[in-house]
Amino acid sequence: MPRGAVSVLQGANGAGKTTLLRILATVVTPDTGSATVAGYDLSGSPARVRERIGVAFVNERSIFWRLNALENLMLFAATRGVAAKQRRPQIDALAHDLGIEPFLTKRISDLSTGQRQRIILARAGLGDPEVLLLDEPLRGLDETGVEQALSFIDARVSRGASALVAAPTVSEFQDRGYTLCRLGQGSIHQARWR
Amino acid sequence: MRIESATRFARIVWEFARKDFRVLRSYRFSFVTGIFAAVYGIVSFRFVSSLVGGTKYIGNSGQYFRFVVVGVVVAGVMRASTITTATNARRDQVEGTLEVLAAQPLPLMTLGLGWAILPVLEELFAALITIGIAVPLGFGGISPDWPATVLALVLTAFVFLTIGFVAAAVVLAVQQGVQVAGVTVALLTLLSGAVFPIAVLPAWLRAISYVSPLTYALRATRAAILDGGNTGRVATDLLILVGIAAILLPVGLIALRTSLAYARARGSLARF
Repeated sequence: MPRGAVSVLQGANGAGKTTLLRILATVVTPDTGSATVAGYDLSGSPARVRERIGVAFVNERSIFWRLNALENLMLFAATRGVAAKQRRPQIDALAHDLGIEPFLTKRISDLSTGQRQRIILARAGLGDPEVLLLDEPLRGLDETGVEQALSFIDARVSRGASALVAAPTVSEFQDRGYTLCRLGQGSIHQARWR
Repeated sequence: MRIESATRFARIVWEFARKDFRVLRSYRFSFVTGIFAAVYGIVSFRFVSSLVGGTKYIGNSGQYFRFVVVGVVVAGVMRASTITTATNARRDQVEGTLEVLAAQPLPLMTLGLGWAILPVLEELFAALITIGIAVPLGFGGISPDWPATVLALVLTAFVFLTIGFVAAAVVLAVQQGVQVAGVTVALLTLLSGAVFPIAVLPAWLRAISYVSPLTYALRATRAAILDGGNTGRVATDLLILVGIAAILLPVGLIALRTSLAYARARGSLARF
């Protein structure tokens, strides 16, 4: 996957997109093979990899539902190693980019699926990671949300980050200068946008 | 550099405590039930204590009440360190937050302490409430060595935290086993002299009690609170606890590391 660019990984349901992202995020160990993320080997230096990635999995339960959005983001900013003084400004900037300011102090259990998805995306951006691993980042988002999410990805990439986005359908990502890859039958190959 | 890492480590653990406190606060009724449970337990033992005493094991009923109050406090700290660590690890696995936490640049110890810190602090607070309730019921008239008491309780928490790591490791690997931790804690409570002196046990059971860390935690805390800080006894038992912790901490961390590696290999970090 090219550095400083967005790569979109398309594949049918069950092709292995999510598993691949989870492997790259170091939460699943591959049976065989090897990979590097931001120059670090997954099996040799998983801690280094974790310092450099921001992840968004398809799991709206991956945030603490009894806390509000701000409390969630403050906690994960701490786990990402963001300095205490930088946490709130960084969260405010992410909230602005993703349009989550109006419900930042609402409990997660009171938010809609799309609102939760935006919080999960904001969490992936904490600490300005070198690599974003985003599994179906547009899932559950309305039109405005889709545009904000894509702008969020573009803004990070324009600052030097790389993004790997997994999605079953890719029409929303077309005409944005992203690289399209297809995953099928255990192999990945670059493809052309149609 | 080390100080910076230690500060960061402590801050993250503190953030986990704040997170769990916010979650706990959102279930307001649990505070009330917790205090009720403490009152219920201590009042019950006050009445039970009026039935015992005057034997070679317990001098009088007041002495038994003091004995059992300290037993309840120390056993509570053990329970929080052991069972709730495993319960909270399982909660994160079931709720799906463990997978994301496992993708964060967190040292293993941070994750383990993050699961345990609030329950342990909560139990130390409960210990104060328990003693506060017990004082008007007959717990007064003693001169505790407070620094030794705090040290004994903190060391107790630390020793059983390492066992909590092992319990969490088992729970994460097989998605069950909290009950096993519960049974272990119950057996230790029974065999270590929490609610009755180990002298009443048959000789073979007493032998088992000498390998239980709870025995030394209870002896140290009782000496600190009830014997006016019997320095020799407290120091000896605290040193034994430090030794046990030094042996068990690496065991707990290795178990947790192995379990997480196993869960990563099976893809079961998020599994109901």
